[in-house]
Amino acid sequence: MLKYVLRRFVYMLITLWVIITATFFLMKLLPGNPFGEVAAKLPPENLKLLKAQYGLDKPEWQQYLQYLGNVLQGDLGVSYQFPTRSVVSVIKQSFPASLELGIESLIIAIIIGLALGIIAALKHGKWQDNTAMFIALVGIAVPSFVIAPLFSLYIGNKWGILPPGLWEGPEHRILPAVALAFGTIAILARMMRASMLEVASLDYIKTAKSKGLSTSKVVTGHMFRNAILPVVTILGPIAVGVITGTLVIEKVFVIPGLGYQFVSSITTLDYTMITGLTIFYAAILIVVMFLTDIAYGFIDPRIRMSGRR
Amino acid sequence: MKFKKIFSTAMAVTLAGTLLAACGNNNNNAEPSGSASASTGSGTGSKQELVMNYRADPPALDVSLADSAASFTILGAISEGLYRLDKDSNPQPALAAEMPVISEDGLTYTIKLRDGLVWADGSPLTAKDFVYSYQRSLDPATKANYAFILTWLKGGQAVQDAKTPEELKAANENLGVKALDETTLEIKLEQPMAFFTGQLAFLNYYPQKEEFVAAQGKASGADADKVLGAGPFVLTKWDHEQQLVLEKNPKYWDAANVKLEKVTLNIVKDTATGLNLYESKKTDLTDIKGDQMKEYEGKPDLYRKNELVTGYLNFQQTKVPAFANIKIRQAMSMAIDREGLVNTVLKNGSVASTGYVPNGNSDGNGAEFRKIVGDTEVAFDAAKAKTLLAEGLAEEGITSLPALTVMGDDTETGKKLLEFLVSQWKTNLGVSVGAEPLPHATRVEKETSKNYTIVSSLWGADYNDPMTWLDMYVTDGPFNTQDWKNEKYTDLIHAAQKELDTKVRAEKMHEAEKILLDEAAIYPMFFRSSPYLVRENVQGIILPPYGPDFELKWTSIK
Repeated sequence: MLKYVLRRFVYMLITLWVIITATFFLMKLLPGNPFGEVAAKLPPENLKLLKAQYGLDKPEWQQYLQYLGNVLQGDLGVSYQFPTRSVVSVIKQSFPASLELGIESLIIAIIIGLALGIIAALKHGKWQDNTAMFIALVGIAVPSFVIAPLFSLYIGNKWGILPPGLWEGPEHRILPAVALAFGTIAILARMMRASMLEVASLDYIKTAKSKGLSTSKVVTGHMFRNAILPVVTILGPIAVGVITGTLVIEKVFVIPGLGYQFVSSITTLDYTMITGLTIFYAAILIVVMFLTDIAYGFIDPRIRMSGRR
Repeated sequence: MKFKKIFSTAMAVTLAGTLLAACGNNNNNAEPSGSASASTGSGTGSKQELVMNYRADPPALDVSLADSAASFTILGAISEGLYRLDKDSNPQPALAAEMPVISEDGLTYTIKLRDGLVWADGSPLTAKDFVYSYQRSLDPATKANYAFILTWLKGGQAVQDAKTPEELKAANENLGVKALDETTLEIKLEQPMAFFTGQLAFLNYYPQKEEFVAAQGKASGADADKVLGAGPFVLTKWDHEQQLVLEKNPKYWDAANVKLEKVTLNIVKDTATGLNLYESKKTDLTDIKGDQMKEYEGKPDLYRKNELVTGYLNFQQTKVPAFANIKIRQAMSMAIDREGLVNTVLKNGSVASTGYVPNGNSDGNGAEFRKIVGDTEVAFDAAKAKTLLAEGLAEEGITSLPALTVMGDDTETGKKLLEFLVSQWKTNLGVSVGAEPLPHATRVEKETSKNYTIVSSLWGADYNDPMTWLDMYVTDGPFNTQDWKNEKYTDLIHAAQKELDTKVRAEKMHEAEKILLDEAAIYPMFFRSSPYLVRENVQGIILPPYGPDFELKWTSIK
């Protein structure tokens, strides 16, 4: 087991290194320069000076080695757009809001998504199934840039039920969390339904039923645990997606999160910010996938066994 | 170049002009406060508290390093210069006790400071703090983007060009700023500048406290506790990209006339949400877009801020030799209906341009440039445009124009603007032009490296004088990206830069603009305006012509 974990860990580092390298060089291919606003009216000779100050006049491989060395020391560099802010400080400041919102929306999505999926599977082919799947279809088909402004406009402004934006009290969490959960609900519901249906046709469920167990016991004791496995697999990447922030939801609901930082860093060509945030994102993804594997082992002892061998 | 220009587009793009559309309900008379009887019109509070949306988080609140409108705006609230501009953009004594005493030759300004001035931390503020501030901004090690504005000081350029510590020390000693005593400052200029007193109200000429700034090191201006001012407010909270809180500074010399106790600025980047927050009474002020403005047309809370910003086209003459022909440039310009552009595409209160220097910009001699010079642009005339194009092509010995692309910003409005231009050239001139919308940074990069055929660009005033517009187009100047060459124009601008008589100087600049536009060297299209919604009970807020986005000192809640 230890050997297995160690090997996984080395793979993790290699993956990270590949991502850092790829991001670093891909970013250099982007047109323009990272001094954006400041450079808008900069005469060429001053631009040259500025580039020299940031070491951008050196060959790319030198810049790359320098950067790699800094990353190893936990230094992701200083933003070009905001010279007084380091990438690490931006992450520290923006990630909590994204993380909190992501967790809240994930909880909502898991509860509603799984419930919809189970109901749909148990009432297979009946109106409950159709309704649940229709809801899931809407969740997939309607993008967040439609849902979020509609929520803000109607629930927030026209009906005045909840605040249309800003990140203050608990009441400010509800709209963005639900808006963000929409897509996840749809994915989880469809996945859970398919998985439940598959499990329901297996022999041991028939056995359980023939022994005279009640439907609720069959579902909770036998079906759920087996049906949830594939759902857990996709939950990892989904979780990373929602906790690292989304541009649209953050912008519409005025949330100081990481998603906005990421996108604006790309449009302003903030080199250090782009690479820094990509590394952070990749690291989280890899760690979460690792944790997912462990969670998998808990749910299904067969996987734990094969791991030990 | 005499003036090293390092500008931020953030500034260029947000400079504002209230001169034309001073809104009736926004006068400068701070109402007697009486906070007890304050209204409850806004859900955001009945006291002297203001909640507003603001579209950007300031990058750094450091007097020397600030280069965006957001920084100018916040620093303008928490600090102050020798003068502060009132609602008519006239300088009023601020840290200075009175207007400057200016020598006969217009080169020496002697300014008396108020007695007993203190920084927000209670320490004394003296004339030395100004000297330190100007030296620090000019010091090449500071890398201040706006240092060029301080090279107007006598010997300023030498400080900026200093290569060694010894050179720097010597240059600083010769710099035209001296503390004659604790409360007397003497400033010497390289050449007379009619607008210099007003310039002293701007961030670049604010004082800085050496001890404080030095203690912050590289983090100067990075957080609420790393900035020190002497203005009407203090920054008590700064959650980056989320919220800034300003509270009244009890130690401010004019605290008695500051009514607002607290200002909360929420960073809101989505105008639709901004409007939702305004309509659900979560904020007292928000910026809106043209299509949102329609609903508020005629309502008392609509505030139209006319900016010192001109939208214009450049025709690159080296890549497209045909554009060196004056008739072809005129034809391309004449084929565009500017009125149609502002009324059907922009719809945000921007007006069709009548020249390059926008409405509200001074002429450097006490008058408004546009009012003196009038309309200098070619008029929209499709028939004449076609004739000119045919003549121009014949002169160049070609039968048609080469492949052309108009490049511009990929914002919502930017894209609509490009579509409009393409259709105008097609319909009115029969010329096919492609459209190339690009992210802002890329557009600017391609523009400055002259890698375009036609570009739709924006320029904003950096100081209230025609020179901020006109010195761009001297032959081989760094901002003359279209490679237009005109000796007479260049001579006029160089002569105006050296001219001591402000009247003669203004006349030279009038003549220069006429040449620029007679030749259609550039094609100005509109003078930009931005609509805002300001709650009616917010009194005395100023959205100034350029520099900061708003001025809160005299604001009160009725």
